[in-house]
Amino acid sequence: MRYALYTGCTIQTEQFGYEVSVREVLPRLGVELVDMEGASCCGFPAFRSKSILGWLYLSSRNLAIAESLGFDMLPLCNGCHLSFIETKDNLDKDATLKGFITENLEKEGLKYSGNINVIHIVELLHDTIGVKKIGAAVKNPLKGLKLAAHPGCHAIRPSNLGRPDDSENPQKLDDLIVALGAETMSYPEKTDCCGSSLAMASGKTTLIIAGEKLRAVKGYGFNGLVTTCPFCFKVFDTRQRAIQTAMGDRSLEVPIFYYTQILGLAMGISPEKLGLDLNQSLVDVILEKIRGGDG
Amino acid sequence: MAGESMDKREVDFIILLLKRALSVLTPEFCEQCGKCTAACPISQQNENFNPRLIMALVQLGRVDELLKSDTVWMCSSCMKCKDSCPEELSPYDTILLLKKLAVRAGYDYPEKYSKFADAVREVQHRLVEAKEALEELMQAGPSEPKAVLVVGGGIAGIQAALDLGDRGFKVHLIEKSPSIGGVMAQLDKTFPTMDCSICILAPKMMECFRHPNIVLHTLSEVKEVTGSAGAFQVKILEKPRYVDASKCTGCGACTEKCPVKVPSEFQAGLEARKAVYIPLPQAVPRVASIDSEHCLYFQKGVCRVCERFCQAGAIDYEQQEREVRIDVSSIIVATGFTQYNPQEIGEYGYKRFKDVITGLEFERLICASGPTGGKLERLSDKRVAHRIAFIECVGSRSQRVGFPYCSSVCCMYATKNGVLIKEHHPESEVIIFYNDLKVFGKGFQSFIDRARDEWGIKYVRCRPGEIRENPLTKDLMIWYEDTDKGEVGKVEVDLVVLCSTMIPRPENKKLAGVLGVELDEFGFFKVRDPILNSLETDVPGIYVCGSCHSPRDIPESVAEASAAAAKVATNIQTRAIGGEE
Repeated sequence: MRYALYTGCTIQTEQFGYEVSVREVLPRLGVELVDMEGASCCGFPAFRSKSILGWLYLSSRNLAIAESLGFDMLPLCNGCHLSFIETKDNLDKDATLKGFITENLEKEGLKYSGNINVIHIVELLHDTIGVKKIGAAVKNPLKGLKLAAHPGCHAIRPSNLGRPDDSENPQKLDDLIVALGAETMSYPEKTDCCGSSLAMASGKTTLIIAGEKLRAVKGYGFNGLVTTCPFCFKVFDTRQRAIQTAMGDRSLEVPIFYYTQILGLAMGISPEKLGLDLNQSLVDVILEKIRGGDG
Repeated sequence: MAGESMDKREVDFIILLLKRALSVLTPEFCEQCGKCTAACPISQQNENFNPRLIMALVQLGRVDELLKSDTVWMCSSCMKCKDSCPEELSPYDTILLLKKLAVRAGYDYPEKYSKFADAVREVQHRLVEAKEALEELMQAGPSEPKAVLVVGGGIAGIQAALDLGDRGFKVHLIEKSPSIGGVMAQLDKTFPTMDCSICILAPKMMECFRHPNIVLHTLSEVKEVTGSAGAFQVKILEKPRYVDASKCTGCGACTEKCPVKVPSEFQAGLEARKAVYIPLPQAVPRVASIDSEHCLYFQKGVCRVCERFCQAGAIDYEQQEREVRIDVSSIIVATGFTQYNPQEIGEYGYKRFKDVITGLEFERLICASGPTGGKLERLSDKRVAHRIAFIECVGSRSQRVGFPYCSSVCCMYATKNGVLIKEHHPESEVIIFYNDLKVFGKGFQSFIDRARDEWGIKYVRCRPGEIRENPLTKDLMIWYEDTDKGEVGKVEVDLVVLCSTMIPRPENKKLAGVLGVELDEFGFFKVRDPILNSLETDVPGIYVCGSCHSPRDIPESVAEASAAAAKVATNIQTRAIGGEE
């Protein structure tokens, strides 16, 4: 299994924990990650409001780079994944548009034929590698932990574009959590938005939306929340202090993890190697719990 | 590259995307049902953001107001609106384009506003195609026997058979299942008079059974039809009942002893029946039949318990399929409808949440002969439900999933059921989420008025965005927008009833092939002319009545059945006169 790894802007500039844990965990499950030289921003969402063609161009040039490597592309971010899938869809539907884009890509020495698959990390873990194989790799089951799954909007919607999981009842991330020996359950707010896209227009609304979700998660007795999206993580983890202020509730503490981080923990990898020291929510509580269970 | 040409192509492409986003701008374009706003996480927190209103302003061409305000920037791109719109529109895509316009065009580029407005106006002005002109009435054929075939033993088929039988015509009434009665037998009460459904139906069923001019063929289907109006030759396939109907006394001993449990069709799957069974207490004929698909003897060659316990010696495993040939002058199709399975509308959680049920399941739940004896115990924890919500237009008036037409009965039956709940427990709270109250029948509006004013049923105009289940209490949370007030709210209830639409029976296709008649785009039987010849198909001598040709209520089905019977009688009689000349 070889994939062209597309990290995207957010991960490369601030969400190091995600990249570190992915690079630590996936090779141990038999996945070889090939870096994409010359990759750029996926174009979404920053460029899309400004120029649709600009977005499509940026997005398709990354697809073209992966295509030249000859492997399927693995974007780590939900938003990037959707951007590539939407671009592919737009170019497939419109030959004129595709002609215009390829014409310009050629000036860069890039070739886009559309003959490339884009795989989501949840699809890779759940469908390709499989829950069984992941379960078998677990050395240190996360017993006694109850973790909430947060798939993130762009991993499940729009449902007509072949997203990695069901839009109303996503279960794959849940399955993956259970495979690690932890507990989970469906909760009404599971498919709720984290509010991050709103941060530029109305930061306060973002914090309230995210806060309501965290409050619900805590209320159901979860010990933490797990996601695969850097944008969602950024709001829930990095902005958790601000959320507490906005909600007027200092006790609103929910440890936030990337799935690859808890996967690594269950595989017996040390927290430092998984970038867990970069998480700003109170993950230490959970780490102690895991260590305690260990001894 | 030349900046200008890119601009032009980009503008064209924006318009293309816009058209795609609003690609279903038919006259039904955005009904302002509010489902998007009810699903929107921003609207739930911020009263100034409302996707429904954004769509309304686009509809009205008031795009510039949107661009001047900061509302379009409040979208978090979660796409809940896009995924929930029953009309397959996408407020999300519209907002994206509005954003783009705001950024690129600003107020310095008024010509781009006009392009946007033009594109909207262009698609909005599409017209519905006019229907075909009238066709000539059928030609009279030669002399013919006076027998008539009625396909389907629901209320419409029963009424047509009775009317014709009373006039002296011989009628063959064919029913696919072991008993006549149809869906009406499953209903608890009927609107707007609150009559007990089976109490007014059962006498008619019995009358059919006893009528000297009516021959009942249960467990039967039409296999082949040849000939033409006035002289159809029909082959009927009678499936074996494996019970001798002339010997069976309907005592039920076989049912009691049978070890196999199968979900009961009559109880909408809420209760089990046995493999040898009498489908409902008022079954006609009231004799048992063996469901060979589930019977242990037919499946595994063991058991035969029913045979041992039948004192009348009525069990007969050797019965064979029988073909019956009859000659008839006319055929009336009255095969009725089936209910849409709302499972594919994921946001309402049918089958995912036990206490989200369909209208038909509710009818059984509140019926005294239902699985709970009429107690409104919800399925998850057997607690009596006191807060009940009805959601209209589930699978109907929808372009996304389900069907675009109006199901025609839901506004009334939701109200009827609301009143029933209040009669059972006056302290209960009932909310009906409606899209438009379509109550056109006799006495219907006053029924609604009484439900609201005297019984205190709450009506909220909105398609709710989502139903969520509290995993601990099993209570259900509904997010909605009260579109009359523009307020987004949520309400917690014990039970949600989805008024799932009436849909064509899947067997229609086969039957239409046998009869040589056409189906419409949904699978309902097509009529010759929807206004002046609404009961006759394209094949002279073959008529339809009841909900097999579009959704309708009981009074209308009964009226149509009588009308179809009258048409058939008129044709037979004029032909007879013509023959004598």
